[in-house]
Amino acid sequence: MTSLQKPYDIIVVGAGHAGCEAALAAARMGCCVLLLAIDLDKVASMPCSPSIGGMAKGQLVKEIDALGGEMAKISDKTAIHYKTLNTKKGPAVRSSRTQNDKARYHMAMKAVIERQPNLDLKQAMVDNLIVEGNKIVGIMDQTGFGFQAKAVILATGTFLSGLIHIGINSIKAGRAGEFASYGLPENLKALGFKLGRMKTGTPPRLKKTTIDFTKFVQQELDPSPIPISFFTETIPLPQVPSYIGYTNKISHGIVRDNLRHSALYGGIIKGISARYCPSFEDKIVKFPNKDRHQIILEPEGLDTDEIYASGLGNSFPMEVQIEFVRSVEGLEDAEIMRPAYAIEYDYVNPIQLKPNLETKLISGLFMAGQINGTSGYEEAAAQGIWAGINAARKIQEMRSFILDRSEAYMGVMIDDLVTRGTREPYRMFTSRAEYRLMLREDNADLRLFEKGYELGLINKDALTDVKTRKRQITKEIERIKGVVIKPSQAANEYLTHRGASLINNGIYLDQLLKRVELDYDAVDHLAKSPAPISPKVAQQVEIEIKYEGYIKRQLKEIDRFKNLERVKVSDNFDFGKVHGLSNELKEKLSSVRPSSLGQASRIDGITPAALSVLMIALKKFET
Amino acid sequence: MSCSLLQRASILKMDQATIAAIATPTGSSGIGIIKISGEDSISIAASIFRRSGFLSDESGQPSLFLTLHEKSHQIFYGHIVDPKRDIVLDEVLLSVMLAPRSYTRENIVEINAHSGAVVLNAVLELVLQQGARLAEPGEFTKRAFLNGRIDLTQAEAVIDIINAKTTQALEFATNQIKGGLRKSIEAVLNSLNDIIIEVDAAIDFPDEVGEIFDKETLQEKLQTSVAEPLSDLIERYKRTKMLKNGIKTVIVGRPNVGKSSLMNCLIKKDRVIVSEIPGTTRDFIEEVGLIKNIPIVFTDTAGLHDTDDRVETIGINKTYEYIESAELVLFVVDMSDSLTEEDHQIYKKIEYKKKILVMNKSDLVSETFLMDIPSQWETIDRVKTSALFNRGIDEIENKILDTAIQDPEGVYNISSISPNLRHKDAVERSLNAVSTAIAGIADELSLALVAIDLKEAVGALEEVTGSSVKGDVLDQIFSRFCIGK
Repeated sequence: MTSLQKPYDIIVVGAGHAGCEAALAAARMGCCVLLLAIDLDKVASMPCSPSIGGMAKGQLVKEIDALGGEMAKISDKTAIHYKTLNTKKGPAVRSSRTQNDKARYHMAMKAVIERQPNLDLKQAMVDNLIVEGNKIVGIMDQTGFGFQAKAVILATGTFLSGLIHIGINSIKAGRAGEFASYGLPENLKALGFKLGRMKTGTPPRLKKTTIDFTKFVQQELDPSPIPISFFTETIPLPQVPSYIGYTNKISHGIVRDNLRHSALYGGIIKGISARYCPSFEDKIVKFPNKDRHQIILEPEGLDTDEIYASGLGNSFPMEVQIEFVRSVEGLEDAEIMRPAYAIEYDYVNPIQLKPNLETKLISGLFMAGQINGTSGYEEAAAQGIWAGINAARKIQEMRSFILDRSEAYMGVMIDDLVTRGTREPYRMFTSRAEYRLMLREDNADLRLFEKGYELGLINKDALTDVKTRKRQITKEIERIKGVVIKPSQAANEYLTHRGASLINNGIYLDQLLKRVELDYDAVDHLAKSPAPISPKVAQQVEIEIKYEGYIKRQLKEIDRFKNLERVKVSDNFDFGKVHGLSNELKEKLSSVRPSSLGQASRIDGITPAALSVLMIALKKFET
Repeated sequence: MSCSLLQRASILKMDQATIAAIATPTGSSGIGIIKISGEDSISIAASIFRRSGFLSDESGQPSLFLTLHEKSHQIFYGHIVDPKRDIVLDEVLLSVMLAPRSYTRENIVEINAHSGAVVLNAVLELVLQQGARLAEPGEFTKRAFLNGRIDLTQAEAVIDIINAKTTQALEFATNQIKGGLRKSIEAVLNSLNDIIIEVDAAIDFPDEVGEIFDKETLQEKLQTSVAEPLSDLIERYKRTKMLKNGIKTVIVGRPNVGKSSLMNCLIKKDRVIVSEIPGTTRDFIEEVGLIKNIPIVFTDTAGLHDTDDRVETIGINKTYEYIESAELVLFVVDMSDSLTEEDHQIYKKIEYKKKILVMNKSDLVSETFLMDIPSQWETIDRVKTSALFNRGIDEIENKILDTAIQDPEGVYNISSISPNLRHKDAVERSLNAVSTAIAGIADELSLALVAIDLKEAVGALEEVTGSSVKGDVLDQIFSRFCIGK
């Protein structure tokens, strides 16, 4: 190892969405951090869809933001289209999504990283980890140049043994046009890690000027888009529409006739793909009765003609791709600028990680993002900030920072990953969260600002703001619960106007607010607060009162959940010696090493009987 | 879900002593089984068992131990011998079931003895002398449960088997352990999960699935495939409860109309003191009689009349309490005497209960005699009896069944699925949650909230099966809906 290079606290390998958040969080927590990318022109690039957020992912982005992460801020700086999903299904499952200018996203993130004190950004491909005993001490790049560090975070995305497929052609690449890493996976195997193989893919990019947009339905722009980040004041870029269209029977026929030429069905791809993100071949084979599939055309940026054709992902050779794309109404003359492709890559089953995302095998080695078998920019970023925080905490000899399933979507995801592992690319869904009513986008700041502040990632002003708001919310709810609305003519006129039934007797305002037809506007009209109430406070007051019954129930469930989480498993507890457990379960428990009885209860195959046996054994062990 | 299981499990203690008990009901049957479970069960058995046709030498014991060890799941014929006194206690069949292929997943020895209770107890005592500990009630099942051999539904069914007083109840319990109840609950769970899948798919995939979501169909499905089967289970519980616990029947009447004699006829034993001094029955005597194998719990009460006797007053007040909780009242009057003010007073207390008017002492009047009763009593079911001559008893028995259980034949047909109290409680909670969900859908409540109700309904049912059949909702979503970028 050379002495030319200063030693770092933490090295982050890979500067995608996970790597950037990891490096920024650790540097902001006072660590000296090195961020390595194979190509500095690809920092925080968006190799697939040009959008951030979406169902459950929007919640992740808000949580990252509430812990002082960067994704939401960059998203606002570069967004060219905002949309709120599920507006009618209740605040709990409302999610934000933006479409972004890819080039600007990359540049904006790179700029933040370059300006961040304590953080060096360098170009290098890492080939080897340097391990002493079971401790990481540094890395070596492919030229043999070494860097020392106390902790290393691997955020290598799809680059480990990456292999791109277009028809029967396979190209070694981490992404189209980028070198893959073939040294590091070998090194990981040699260190004892078990690697699996996954597959993902991306649709073709079409030239804007060759598309007949009159054949598509234009998606209206949100007239008053709300920023994603809690810290964004204005949305700088102009907004542009996207377009919806459909494939047809002819397109499906082309796909069916050419299945054997696709990499996926030609037997070339071995990796496991995500079912929620099927290649078009999959859609045709698995849903043969659907005679059309939706496609969305989204611009990749303001200064480019490239259009992302969402829904047309495939692994066909070029000639088939062209025929297939041009079979769609409005795309008859479309020119493909970049072909669709499938990519296979190695991942490390996250069951080999602790809840802080540190590997069980090597102390100080952390992993985040697609290397852990996840999919999506937001999932990667969330793991990135989690790993960055925890690597910093480890170096600073502080307790791990873990959010549980009742505190954040991040907590749900990490717990799923380290408890159950994953065989297909893992994506966040709201249905994965047991307490999703409590884990809303709108309260991410209320949930996490204080934690962010304790970590040193959220500033004092933001903390004060949240604390003040919490007080105002409590006060206003109390006030509303004490106000009786009399059946005055004015009150009933208002109710009629809102389509609500009239009142004949006095009624508490909170009871009135629970009515489906009414919202906080009713409070303003019927018994306005003497103190000014900001829209943010009003929103929380409305949600807390309207869903009071359900919120109370979820809180009770959370209580019970926490009881199990509190039964901790000590590090020296031997699962192999638990009397009454099957050998299979003993092995499973020994390999996952759940840190609490609660985590143990979520391992596949654990029966209630096994759990009570385990609980009894734990009690015996403690006494 | 699993939390409540754990709370339950925390009561269970694990100790590894070898336990033994008489596994069959004592009394009536001529055969009995002593069950021994635990590490030492085989050595204990070997020390008191002599195989027929084998020499009973002392040094032979270890080899018998080995033989028993090697031949799991076989039956040996021989005798139980008290080794200290060298006395043969009984001729037995003995079987060994080695761990883990046994009910408790521990080594089990079962001794089938051919004699009655006295000998059975002597054999058990011998087993205990050799180092086993007397099993607590349900401890075999508890071990089976703790060792993962059975789930909660089954564990409780086994306890019900142990407690079953009648053949009918035994059939219920047998069916339950086969998973009858579990199967029907799992069917409801599947339907519920099916619906949750649609709701979650509509939430998580608003673009792809949200648009095809249909609320009316959902409500309809919830009603027919979830709410109705759950209501049915609760109904079954109510009927089965009668079969298990007996129909509570109170015998009331003014003093000396023959209540105690009637009770003796009904339970076919001479247990109640019958005398002609009014007010003899001050304590309450509960006895179980069987009518067509359905247990009827009869309570003979103090005669109801005005009295200054303090003890008797307490008894009379107690009688009113019994009447409150009874499922059926047998209102006894004296046919040979005209109705008194006391009879009318008693009638007022039982006016709103299910009741049968028993006109006793029919032997003292002529066959054609018609008793003069108030017109409002005309609609009550009536039976003429003579408890003294055991007349009219069959008729009463039929009326009891008819009145207490509207459809006695129907009761016999509830063949397999009958929840116990814990199950019923869970099923009721589940049904409540489903009803809230159905109402919520009608009120245009947001889907995310409806989902909370549905998941609560699932959670409650999973308490019954004791295991989560949750599966992966997402798995189902992906196989049913075409979702993707």
